[in-house]
Amino acid sequence: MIGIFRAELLKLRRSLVVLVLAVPPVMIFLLSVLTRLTGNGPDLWLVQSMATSAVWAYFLLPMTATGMTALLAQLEHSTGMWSHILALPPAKWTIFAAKCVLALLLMAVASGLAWASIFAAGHTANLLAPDHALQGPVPYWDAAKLLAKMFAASILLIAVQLAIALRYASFALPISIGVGGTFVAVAATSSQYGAYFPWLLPVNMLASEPERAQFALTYGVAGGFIVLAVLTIWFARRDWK
Amino acid sequence: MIAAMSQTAIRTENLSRRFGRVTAVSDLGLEVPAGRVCGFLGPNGAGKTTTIRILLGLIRPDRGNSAIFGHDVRKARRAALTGVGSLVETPAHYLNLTGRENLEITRHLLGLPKTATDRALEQVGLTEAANRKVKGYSLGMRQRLGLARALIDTPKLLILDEPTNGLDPAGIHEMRNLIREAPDRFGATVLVSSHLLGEVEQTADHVALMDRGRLLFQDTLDNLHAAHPGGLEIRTDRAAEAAERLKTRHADARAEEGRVILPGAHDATEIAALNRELVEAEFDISGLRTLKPSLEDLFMKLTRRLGDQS
Repeated sequence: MIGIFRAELLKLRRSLVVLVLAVPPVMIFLLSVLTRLTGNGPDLWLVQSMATSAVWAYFLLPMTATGMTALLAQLEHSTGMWSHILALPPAKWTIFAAKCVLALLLMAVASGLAWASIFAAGHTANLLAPDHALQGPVPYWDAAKLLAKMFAASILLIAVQLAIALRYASFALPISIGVGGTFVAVAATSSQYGAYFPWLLPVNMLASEPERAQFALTYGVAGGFIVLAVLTIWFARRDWK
Repeated sequence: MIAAMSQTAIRTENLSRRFGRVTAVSDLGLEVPAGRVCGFLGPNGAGKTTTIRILLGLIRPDRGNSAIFGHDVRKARRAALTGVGSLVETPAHYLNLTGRENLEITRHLLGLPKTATDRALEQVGLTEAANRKVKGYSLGMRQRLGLARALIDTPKLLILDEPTNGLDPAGIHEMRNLIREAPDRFGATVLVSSHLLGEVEQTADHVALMDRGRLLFQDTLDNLHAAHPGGLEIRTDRAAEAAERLKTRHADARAEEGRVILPGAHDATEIAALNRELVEAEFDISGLRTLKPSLEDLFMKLTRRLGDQS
């Protein structure tokens, strides 16, 4: 299994993975710094970090998941490598399990970078505009916990996007669904069914009702691992023509 | 149940697969002896690639079994596919990676030592280009890299699906030599599929002919020719007259540009009798030659027979 995972990592060399990982934190950084410099942002570190986390959860996290899973699937789809990889002796499920682990790992890294960019932006803005400097304790730990929960709640959406990206050779469908899901999530926020909508689960970590946040976390994690297990088994059993 | 037989590299029993209403493979009973180069022949759509994909565990048959060196592909997939190198259709590679990195991926997946990559690169003559991105490789180099990937685990069975597709004449020549030498050089059995019958005739000693999902023939090339003799060519001064005379013995006898063609005549006693008859009738005989039909001719003949049966 380690060899299979090393092979997965090797495939990412000179791919767009670095760009997909780098764009969201850069966007967070620019958005936050520009907001601070125009004097439109909140005055407290805690509020600033929550507001930026919301942008991450609503838009950047689902879009990064969409791009990342499409990229991972396209490594084989675009090159026709499935026939080679799946004709090798290792059990097919291990190949797909490695893809699932890699997708989660990369999204965890993306979440970490998002966390770092929130504070990098805050400190940079404080240096550039000390008159509007953010006040109060710097909530490194609180933000880390929040982003970790957002990542955990997003496992279902990552799993769904990965399943679609692996199933369809064209990247158009997973990208369309990812973009559509992200924007529908905004409209679904106030809906009672929004609690079940995978693209909204990370946002629900910010819900004022603790039950809604807890449900999103449990549903996102459990549902995510169920979908990952099902996709691993299903893709290992299906024909590769 | 397919019994383990080390002298048989590939064995299928009643292998069948349909795609919707199209029968891709029907009751295929293929047997490839170990240590041979077997040409797996048939036109496009004959069912060769479907058979190969079933053998490699990429698709499931609707019915029947397949085994590699006695290991059932479905029940003991890992054992069956260990030591099997394959090149399926177009040579697929990760274009953003170098040739070496592409092989490293397969090496990691197979858990092989680092030396395996260098050895495979050397075997196909790609050592110098190993650190260049595959994006910049020619089609021939990509095909060779695909072959290196198939050879990386010192395979006991090589399954090559249309390996000369897209190659230039020099590449075809190189690939042909590699296939021909594989049993001695690597100790490998080779199953090489192609729709170019003449091409495989130059490398294979065993053939399996397929058409419309059905196996038409499988045996050695020698036995195929023995079972379907081409005939006799007699060079003579009065070909038309000689052909007319021989029609009493051979209804199919015909004259063609200073020679008489007798389809199917191959028996030595019969040839001697024909020669005697013409000499006694004062024909000048300048040459006698048995005709060997090409694989293409035989394929067409067998295909017609299948058409007549169905």
